[in-house]
Amino acid sequence: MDLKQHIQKVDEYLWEIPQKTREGMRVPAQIYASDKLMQELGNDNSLEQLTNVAMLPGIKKASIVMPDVHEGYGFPIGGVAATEWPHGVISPGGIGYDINCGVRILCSELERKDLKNRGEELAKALYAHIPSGVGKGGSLHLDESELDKVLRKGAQWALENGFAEMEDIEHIESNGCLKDADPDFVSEYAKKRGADQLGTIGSGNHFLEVSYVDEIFDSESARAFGLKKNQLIILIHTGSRGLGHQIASDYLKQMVSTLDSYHIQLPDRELACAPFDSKDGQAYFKAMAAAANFAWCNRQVITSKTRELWREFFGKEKGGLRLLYDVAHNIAKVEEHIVDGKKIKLIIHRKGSTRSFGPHNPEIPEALRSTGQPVIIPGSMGTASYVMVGTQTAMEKTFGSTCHGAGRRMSRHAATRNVNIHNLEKELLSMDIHVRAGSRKGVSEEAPIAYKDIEEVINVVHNAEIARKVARLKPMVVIKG
Amino acid sequence: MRIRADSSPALFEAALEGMSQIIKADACKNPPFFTLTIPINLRSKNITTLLIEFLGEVLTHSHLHNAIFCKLQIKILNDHFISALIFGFPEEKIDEDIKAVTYHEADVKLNQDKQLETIIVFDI
Repeated sequence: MDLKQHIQKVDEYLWEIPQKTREGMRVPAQIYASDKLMQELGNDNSLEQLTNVAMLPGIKKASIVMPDVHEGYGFPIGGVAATEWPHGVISPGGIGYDINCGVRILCSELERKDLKNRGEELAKALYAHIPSGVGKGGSLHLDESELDKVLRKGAQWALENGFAEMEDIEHIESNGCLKDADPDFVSEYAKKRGADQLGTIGSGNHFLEVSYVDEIFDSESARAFGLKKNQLIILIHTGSRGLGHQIASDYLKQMVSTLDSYHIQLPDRELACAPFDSKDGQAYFKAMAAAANFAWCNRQVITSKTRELWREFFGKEKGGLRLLYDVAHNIAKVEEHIVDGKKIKLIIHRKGSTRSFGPHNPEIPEALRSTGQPVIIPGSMGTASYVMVGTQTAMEKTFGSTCHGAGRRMSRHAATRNVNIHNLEKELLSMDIHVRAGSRKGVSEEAPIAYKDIEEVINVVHNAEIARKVARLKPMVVIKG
Repeated sequence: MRIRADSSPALFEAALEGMSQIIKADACKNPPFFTLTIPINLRSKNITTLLIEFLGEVLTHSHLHNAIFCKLQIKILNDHFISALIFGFPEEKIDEDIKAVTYHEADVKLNQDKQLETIIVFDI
């Protein structure tokens, strides 16, 4: 079936595939995109995956994707799916293998001019100080008992062990800890994989980036966030590393085997799921929460190392780094939202999508509550990233969610084949962007050509009012694995 | 990765060889002495899920031991169960970090040459 033929335009940035399009769909499928981005849709299996998700037991309102959508495993990446609590399903594929892959933004007291002619030097120093790369372990080797504390406490563990400042915790989504986490539901294999990975960035599209604020779009929100033009900013993008991947694999395998016992039939094994309140559903949720806590703690430990290096590099006087916010973009949360005029509890699956809560939500730190939740959207290497703010419209339309990045449009292998690495390196240097990476292949895999146009993606979510532009950031130093 | 073989045991061997080749090219061509021997015992719904879960188990051991596994000795293999030994050696430097073996597009079927064939997608 050519699903593109069934897409109906609802308004300038919203498209819909009606529920009756495919047998088994329980809700319609919704796509946030521009006319231009819609041309690229259908080049992969993301549309079919979107309509598959609409078949999940307990799904409410719509299966939704953002403008950065691309094919994933089971669920498309760039999607949101809400199932009704407590009997609706929870599905590991709706979170992804890298549980709580997310991004945080640190604001410095310095400006772009303070890094003039020192970009290469900073790149070298950061690369040496922050572990990144394929299979790279860090300096923290935790025994099982300590790792269990990380899994239970998340960022709070980092605070208790000297890797965080008091103010940091409130500026992390869910205060950096999901209370439902239970290390007893995390396999020995997963714990072994994670034991030496706390404080490491990993590889692939994970990075640490030093950027500057290139443009301010919303001066009031920028002021509330403490952002100024030309300010130096740090972005840290990473997740739960091998531990999260192992948990995802363990529970996907478990749910594939128990699917029949719940009388659930699905068109794709990677959609394997269980009712949230079942033994399997609860086991996965508790393990997922543990992995999420590990990821928040991971980003916090990396922050601590970055602060160390930053103070050493720029001096103690102006070497402060303030955490503005940390968002997850692969996670499941139990949240309340209005559906058909009634407030109900839902299991919100965000896979490659970011929470985007509007003003006055109690989950937002008090100092930022009247403004709305900061939303961080990293672009591809060499292009821009954005700081946005959550909106009430997002609460109404997309379960308080928005996009998470530019969205891949080319596989890693295709990128490596199509990118001339010498030209790319020259181009980045000509823009005064200093890259340090574990391999040149890793750099070409992440070339801008492999991703959608970030400006186009951002403009969709801004104009659809599911997040509002606050500031654009341009990179100066990129560290990747 | 696309693999094809004349029999189920050969398919599992091809899968192991193919995954190892991705992790580190040519590591299994002239391997050193195998210092690691790990038993694998798995039960699954069908031959496709069994194959994916077998590779997943091998991958986990690769991560845990920082090792590459080249050889497979099967004791029992049917559509729902495998009991086998894998043999490998420590290897710190790898070419590709495979994070997970996915079920995505996996479907063991007979092709037109009457061989068993499937695609296996790795999350890297």
